[in-house]
Amino acid sequence: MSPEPLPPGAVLLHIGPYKTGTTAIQRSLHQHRADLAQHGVLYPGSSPRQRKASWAAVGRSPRGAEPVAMEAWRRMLREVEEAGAQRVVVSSEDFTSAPPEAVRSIVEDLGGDRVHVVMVIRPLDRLLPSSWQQRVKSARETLTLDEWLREVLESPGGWKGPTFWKNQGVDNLVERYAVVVPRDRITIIVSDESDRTQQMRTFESLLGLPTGLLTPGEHENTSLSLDRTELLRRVNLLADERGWSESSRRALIHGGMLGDLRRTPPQPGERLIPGLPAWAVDRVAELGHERADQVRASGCHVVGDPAWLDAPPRAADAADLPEQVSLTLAAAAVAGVVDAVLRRESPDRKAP
Amino acid sequence: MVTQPELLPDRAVLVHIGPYKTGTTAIQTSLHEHRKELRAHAVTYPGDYHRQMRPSWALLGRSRVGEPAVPEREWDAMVAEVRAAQGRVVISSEDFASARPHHAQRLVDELGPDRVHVLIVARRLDKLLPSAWQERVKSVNETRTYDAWLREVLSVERASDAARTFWHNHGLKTLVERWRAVLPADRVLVLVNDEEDRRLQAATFEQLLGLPDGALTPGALANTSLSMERIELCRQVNLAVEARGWVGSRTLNTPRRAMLTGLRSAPLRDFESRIPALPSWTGPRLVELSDERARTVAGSGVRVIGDPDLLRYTPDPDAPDLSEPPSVLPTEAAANAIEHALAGMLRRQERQERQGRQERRARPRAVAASPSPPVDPLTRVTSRAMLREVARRQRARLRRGGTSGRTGRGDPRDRSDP
Repeated sequence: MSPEPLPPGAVLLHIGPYKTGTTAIQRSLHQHRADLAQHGVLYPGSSPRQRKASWAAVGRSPRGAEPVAMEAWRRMLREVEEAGAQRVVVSSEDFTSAPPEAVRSIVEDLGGDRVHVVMVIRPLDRLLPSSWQQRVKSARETLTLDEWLREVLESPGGWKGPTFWKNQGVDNLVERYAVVVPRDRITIIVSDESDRTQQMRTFESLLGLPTGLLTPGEHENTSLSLDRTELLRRVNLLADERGWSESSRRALIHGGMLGDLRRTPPQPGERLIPGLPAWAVDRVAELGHERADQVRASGCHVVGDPAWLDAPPRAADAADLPEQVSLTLAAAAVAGVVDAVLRRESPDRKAP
Repeated sequence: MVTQPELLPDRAVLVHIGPYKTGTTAIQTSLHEHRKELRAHAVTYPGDYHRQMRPSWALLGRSRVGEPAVPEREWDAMVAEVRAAQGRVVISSEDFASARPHHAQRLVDELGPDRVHVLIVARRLDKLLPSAWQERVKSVNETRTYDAWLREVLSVERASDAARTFWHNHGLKTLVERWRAVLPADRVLVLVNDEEDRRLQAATFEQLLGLPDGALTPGALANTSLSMERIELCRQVNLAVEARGWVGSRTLNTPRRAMLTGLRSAPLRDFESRIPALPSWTGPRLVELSDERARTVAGSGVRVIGDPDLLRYTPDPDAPDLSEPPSVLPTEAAANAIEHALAGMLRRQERQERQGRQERRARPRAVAASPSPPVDPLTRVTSRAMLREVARRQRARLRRGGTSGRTGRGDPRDRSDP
């Protein structure tokens, strides 16, 4: 099942999308940067992913973040040019949301026909709850999982659905890049949810690396528990109600509260993000079937089995929203907010 | 001498010194809200705040943690108002309870050695202790659990800061002696609180000041207790403050007060608990201390209103030991606390920015000498955001039909005890 190595000189552009295990593969590539170089593979820059370069190339930064100058992208391109590496791999889930004109220039800048695209398609029963959780963290989502699922699954007229499907719809993703990259240079990895090494093995094959070279890196973008997500969601609601600016949110919630929430060890009674509610199962099964068909009909290389997308969705018991939250978590969140401000006021103060 | 309260002389100045946690907020807000009625009966309640907090701080030379002392002129201004007042005057600030002897002397000298009457409220120790612990956790970064704090305060040695502070403010013997040293016995009043009679304090003030019976109806505010869960959040934040080395940072005052407002704004959930009754291990010691307090008041020689025996304590032999602190709190309370802390931080930064602008306007040359720092994006938008916030919250409250229980106002109950 392993794919053929890409031709020497290829640039492998990993576009995510969001919540498909990108952090894990990026951390692994980051950690093995020197090993990759020894095998003639360049992973540009020095950070876990080509984050700022991708923000510049896509032409948008996350909410509340400063815009990134195009120079970040050009600097990466110079590195790609000068390296003379046999193969290059560039990874950022933010490439997912590139508008058509940005897709064109990204591909052209990276060398046109040298570029191969890889994307990961996950079963919806896992992807949906995880995406909701991510939205609460970074897109100031205020809907509950249940409310958000109704928007995404049942309200074609809303804007939450289209946003999700724009970034996660198989046809949407493939077509966005197929306009400039022939389909035989696009690889779809159908996520094997039971094999955490699948992406590492696939990247090794594509990049001509020895099997087993990529080992898990440090840190994973683990999902917040339901309790932590709910706390954050409620803060999002209140912040909306009060009209906090994006920059304040970014500074105090992301720069403060979220870090401390992440660092706090699991508390007794905390619950994971639940699976799909029973009402959603039929619709998700239907969509999963469509996604499997779309992968089969895509004309792209496929790693893994499209039938995995068509497996019966796992449902969870309807989870009540946590009406109580661990005091340790709440205190960590308050301390995080305060710490963010104190750090700004005395820049020599380090994060704990 | 056990007496009923009697009308004070025409130009008496009644100084109510608390102490803390004896129902001061209730009587103060009532006095504050009845200023018009007070005036109609020639009674002056100086200033325009619900208590004479800042003048009392000016006298005592104190302030909120890390902030400069309140200027003396605020005390002087109140003294001038008292001297100019016709009729009776009433002043109330629980901070006077922590006055040192020279403060007490100055208070009497300046407000009128022949006019001042001091009123001390004596409350049962078992009622004071839970409130006092809670207040410390809310206001002075107390990190001890209730049980640990009780052990310190009830210890014979009274060696820790917790014990010293408590007995400095609540030791009836020293409190009476401190004021007895600067006033004749008949102008020191001890009101023994009756925990069963919620109108006792208001009625006493009415009689002392010559107000009609029932004039002092309850005010809108009472310094209500938080649930154990919410107090525990404050305690855990205090632990974080300590662990991160922020103790004494004035930056914390605003978000801390804001956090308390947020904590109060969520309705009580059924799993929450009140501060429990005193555990049985405190019984014998509390009986001993309470008897002593009753004897102290009875034998004080000053004017006692009410029955000193009400200060005695009957322990509950079946009172359970204190359990571990709670581990969860209502998500709504937590979110409100966090968001208010965040809002408090932003408000504070906005205030600083405004002050900075005023200072720069006042000293145009200094601007050239020291260029202003670049405007922080965090502060740039806040004034508009604050205005929007007010409008949004009004709308949101209407939408929700006012069910959220948010008060939407600053909290005048905030204080930082010594």
